Amino acid sequence: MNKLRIGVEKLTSCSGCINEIIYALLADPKLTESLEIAYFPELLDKKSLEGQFDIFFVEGSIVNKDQIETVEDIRERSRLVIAVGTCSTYGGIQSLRDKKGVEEVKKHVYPKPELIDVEGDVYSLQEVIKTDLAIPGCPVDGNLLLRVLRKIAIGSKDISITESLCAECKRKGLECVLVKKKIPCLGPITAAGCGAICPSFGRGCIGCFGLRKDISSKEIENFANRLEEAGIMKKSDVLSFVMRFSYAKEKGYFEKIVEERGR
Amino acid sequence: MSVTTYETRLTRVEGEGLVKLIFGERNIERVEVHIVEAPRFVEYIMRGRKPTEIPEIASRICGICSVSYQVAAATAFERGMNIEVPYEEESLRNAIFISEHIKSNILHVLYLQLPDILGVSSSLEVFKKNPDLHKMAMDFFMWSRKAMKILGGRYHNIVNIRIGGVYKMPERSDVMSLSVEAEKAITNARKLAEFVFENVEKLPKYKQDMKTMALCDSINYPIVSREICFDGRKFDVSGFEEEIKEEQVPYSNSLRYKTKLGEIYVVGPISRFSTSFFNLSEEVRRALRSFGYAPPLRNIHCSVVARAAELYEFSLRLADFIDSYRPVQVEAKEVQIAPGIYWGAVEAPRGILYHRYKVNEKGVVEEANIIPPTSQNLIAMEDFSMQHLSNLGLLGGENMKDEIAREVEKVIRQFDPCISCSVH
Ligand code: SF4
Ligand code: SF4
Ligand code: SF4
Repeated sequence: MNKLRIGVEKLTSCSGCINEIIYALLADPKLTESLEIAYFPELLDKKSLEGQFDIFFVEGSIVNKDQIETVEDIRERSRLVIAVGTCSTYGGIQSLRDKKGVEEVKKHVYPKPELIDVEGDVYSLQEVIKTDLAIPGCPVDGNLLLRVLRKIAIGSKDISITESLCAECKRKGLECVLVKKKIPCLGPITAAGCGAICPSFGRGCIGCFGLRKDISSKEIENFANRLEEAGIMKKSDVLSFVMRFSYAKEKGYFEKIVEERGR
Repeated sequence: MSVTTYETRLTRVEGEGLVKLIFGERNIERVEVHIVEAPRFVEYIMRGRKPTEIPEIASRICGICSVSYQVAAATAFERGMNIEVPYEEESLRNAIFISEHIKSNILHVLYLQLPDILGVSSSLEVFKKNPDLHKMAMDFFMWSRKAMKILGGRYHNIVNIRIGGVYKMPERSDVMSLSVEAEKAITNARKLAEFVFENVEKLPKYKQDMKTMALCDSINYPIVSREICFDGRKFDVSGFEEEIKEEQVPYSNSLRYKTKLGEIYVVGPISRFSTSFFNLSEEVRRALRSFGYAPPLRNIHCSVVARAAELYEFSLRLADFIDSYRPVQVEAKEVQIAPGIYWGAVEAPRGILYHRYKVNEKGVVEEANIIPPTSQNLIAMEDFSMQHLSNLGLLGGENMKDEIAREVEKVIRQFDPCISCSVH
């Protein structure tokens, strides 16, 4: 059998997901045998993109023209492009600077802002190219990635994740911190995948796996209203929490919220 | 005068950077470390957010050393606002932090640096030829993963650190499950350290002038402290920004730092080793001495020695924590936010990580300044590269560019740069 030719590229991000990709690629020696890791600058000395790829993993969000060109090139060369992590799927925490005027933002960090090659807002991979799969998580779960890789290796096409974190949480038999302790928890609107880590530590979910795919801005708003009515957290604080990781999922809605708050 | 240049992407480091070599008529004249990775402007993003949110936002700066960011931010607010952290919770937090050091060192030594020591191009090649080493690396890696998971919730961006302490003390039985493999981990750490000490023999040995800066701790090998040690002096972390000078150059998205007098300095394992050697365990010191290593280390290629020694030290310390672990009930925490300026510093795996926050009357962050270790080492990377080339007699022209670039990359890798951190 031909080996699957794998590429990995990192864009604007923290490499947290890269570590999980390394884990997924190397944790199972049998699977590793069936892969040819052909491009992965953080691990190999190979410097440029060459040839065609079966699977390309992309970590991080997109903030300039170079990165747009890179991912377009990756798209052309690859059978499957997989967005890995919340940055790549929904923009990640860096999206919180959207619509603030990038030149203004630069001034806050750099004495010579004109030298910094960042052009506009923050884009998720899905907003720039067509992706075959997006696996959120900040960081993505290495074991989930491993399962996906195994499925692709045996030729399966059916790889979907649509469930809320609460379902996972209940399966584990954890006490609901939202109901029992009135601790704010984003579980009901967050995508499953982490195994309900935060509730298992007695705290609320902050939504690092991103919003559930099927959720609308209306439902986000309803959820925030409910938390406020129950005296658990102010609506504006709930929304400010939700957008920390999932800004690009509902850009239009969050832009409006930020504007109203005038921050 | 004809000037040519040559650029090559840095591989086997975290993040996106380039090395640029600038050649004069006959010789190489300058080495530049280009940090091309795009910034995320995290300090800007923090503005308007509550201090309680900051550790978790800061942790997203780096996927390798996120705990360092969480601890630096949490301790800044705790100390400034007089928030007490119960002893048991602080020990747990330190154990999580130590696990992160172990993880980072394993990743660096085994996956990024080993190929340089053995003269090949990737760890995959090393492992193919040496399955025993691969097995040891994998076991060690998995142990650090498991420790982070049990103590912190997962391998990175752990969920168990907050201002005031932790969210939960894990069950004693879960923590004890790490104990069985701890023995093996210590053996692995020792073997790996010995392997490194032995093979480093082949690396260059010339002596370098090196100014080192590190946190100091009177009892332990330093990870969290208020005191910074430089050039035989100590100063409080709140004075850090006065001791250094920031610069911005066109080719780097990371700011760069020298001392206020314009001296080049180094942070990281080699600096910690040189200032805190006597805080290492007896066992680790003995192993080091038997291979002829004692402080100060005066060649950047010995960074890997310090890193391997730390891996050994931290494995011992984590094993100690596991064996004496006693969980207590974690009390609910009400954090009273007070306006003011807050400073924090930790020894992240790559060196001093400094945070400063200004909290306003509304109780939100108005200004943040974060100075990661890699930003502080950038100038030394360039300077030491030139020193290295000169010591190897490799100051030739463009026809030697590949060899020169290879050697420069080796020097840079000794700093284990984390480029995502540096641009944050
Ligand atoms: S999703 Fe989170 S862990 Fe992954 S690269 Fe982005 S910030 Fe890092
Ligand atoms: S604790 Fe959170 S994730 Fe779990 S069931 Fe309750 S709301 Fe859902
Ligand atoms: S519970 Fe929520 S915030 Fe915590 S790890 Fe899971 S998705 Fe992320």
